[in-house]
Amino acid sequence: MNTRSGADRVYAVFTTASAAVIPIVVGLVFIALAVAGWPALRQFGLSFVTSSAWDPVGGQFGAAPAIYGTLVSSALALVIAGPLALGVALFLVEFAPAWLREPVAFTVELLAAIPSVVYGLWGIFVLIPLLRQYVMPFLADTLHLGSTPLFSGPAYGTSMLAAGLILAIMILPYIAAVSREVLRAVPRSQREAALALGATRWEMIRDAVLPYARSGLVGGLMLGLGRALGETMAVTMVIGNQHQISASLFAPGYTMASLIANEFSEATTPLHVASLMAVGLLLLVTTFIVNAGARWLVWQTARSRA
Amino acid sequence: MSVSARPVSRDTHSRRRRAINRLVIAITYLFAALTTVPLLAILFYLLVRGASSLSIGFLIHAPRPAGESGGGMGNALAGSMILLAIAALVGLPIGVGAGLRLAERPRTILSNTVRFLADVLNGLPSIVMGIFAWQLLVRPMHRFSALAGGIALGVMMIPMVARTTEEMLRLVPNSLREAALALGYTRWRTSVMVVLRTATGGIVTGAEIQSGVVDLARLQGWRVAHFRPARTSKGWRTPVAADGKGWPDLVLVRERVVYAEIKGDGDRLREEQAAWLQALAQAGAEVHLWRAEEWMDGTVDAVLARPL
Repeated sequence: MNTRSGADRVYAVFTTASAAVIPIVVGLVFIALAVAGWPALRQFGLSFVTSSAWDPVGGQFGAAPAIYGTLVSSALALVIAGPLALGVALFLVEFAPAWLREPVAFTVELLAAIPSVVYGLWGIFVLIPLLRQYVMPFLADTLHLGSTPLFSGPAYGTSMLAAGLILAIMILPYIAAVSREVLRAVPRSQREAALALGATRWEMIRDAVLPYARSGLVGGLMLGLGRALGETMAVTMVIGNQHQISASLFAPGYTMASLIANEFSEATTPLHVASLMAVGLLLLVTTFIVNAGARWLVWQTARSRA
Repeated sequence: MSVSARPVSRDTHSRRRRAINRLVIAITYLFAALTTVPLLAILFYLLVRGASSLSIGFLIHAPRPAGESGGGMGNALAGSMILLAIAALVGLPIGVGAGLRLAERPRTILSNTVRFLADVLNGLPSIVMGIFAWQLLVRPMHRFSALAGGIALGVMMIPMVARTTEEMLRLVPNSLREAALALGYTRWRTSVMVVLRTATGGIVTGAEIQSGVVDLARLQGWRVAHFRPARTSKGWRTPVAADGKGWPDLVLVRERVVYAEIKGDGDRLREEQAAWLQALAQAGAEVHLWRAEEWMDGTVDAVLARPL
């Protein structure tokens, strides 16, 4: 070490500095958004997150519908995609015959590579007409769910339901990929012991594999949730972009990310810009917490790999 | 899993267990099918609807004013390229540098923190990164620009590039690093010339192998004659004019004569090259076809080191 050349010192400084860029960027993001959003937070205080009034002309800004929409669409996506992704991961790790494993894994990974805006286009031209003509009438009339608040109101197509479905398709590959890694990390001995005691394969999974992998699987779900919370283009294209809070999944709504995407380039007053920045800050804090928690859980599982 | 006392009921019990087992397996099959269907639907939709308007003109022309039909996405395509170039300029060096640091000193507090934050940063919504870049770049510059977009994209690339680099470097065997250091390479040369090159070694060109073989042979006292490929016909010298095409890349002489044809990844042996190799072999010459494999696994070294 003491015979390091000058070039070695430059190299060490360069790589360390490059690595240090990452924490610095994280810090800068927080500081920049906090500074930019501060005027709006100071002016409206707590009502910024509780009020539904979003009126750029009148200078009133309340982000409650966007926050509500973000949470509901993401939760919906998680409810739909979570079990599917876990099923796919179990299929790939435990059950799939060798000739099916790679093609299915490849297809699922390919889903993650499709740009968000392409999902949005598909949503507008395929998913929404499908929802409007078949799925929504089926849910409301055939199943007689139209009287419940969850499925009431006119079926426009653009809706919280459409956003949740698109998000579900988009986060599925992430959850499936992480779940697969986590399930693979479960030691063989764990499985063999269960089988030796006479368990069927499902009993082996239920009693020996899933408990072992639980925190990692939860981490995978949270990673998917993080994606869903921040997903922008596809959601903007199908959610309808209305500042309203409605219990019905058929009603249009708004999310924080699509609010920023829609209004940012048209925001003229400083307060409008500051309000959008404050929305960005809220989104940043939410996704940061969700992602950090998810990473931590996944690492815990992966590290305990025997 | 309680085991019942009576044999009959144990039978029904285990039948039930097997049924549940089959049911679960069937459900996972169903889920796998449900997951692959949307992808195929989207791909199919894009192909059917998009393929008809795809043409060279669509790729190079600028869009017409709204309302007129025709035009293309030339400007958008050019913009993407410019953006990508700037982003790569910003993101790749820093990302690779960070990846090197993470791989070489994996257990320090800095590396652990950076790895964690890189993963978290990767998951942050691009719209958040977008308004962050706007606040830091566009606002002070007072205008939107490809530069601002490129830098923002570059910064977003850093965590991804860093983690991917780290993962790839981990696959390089430690013995390689130790060998280079033992030969007196400095640390940075070891990392950049040996470790990084091996990690990126997915694709090796014929020219790279050839210059490696020539250097190695010269060091071991071989006389080397090499012939440029026919493509760069300007400086093409070959001892045989008429059937010159396909003459082996290298002729090595040291007490014996060795003819070697060099092929990079993705190159195929052409017919006239095969014909020459065959003719030489039939005449009793020592003939070799060296690809990336032979170069990497020591076959080349063995042939060159072998005494007469």
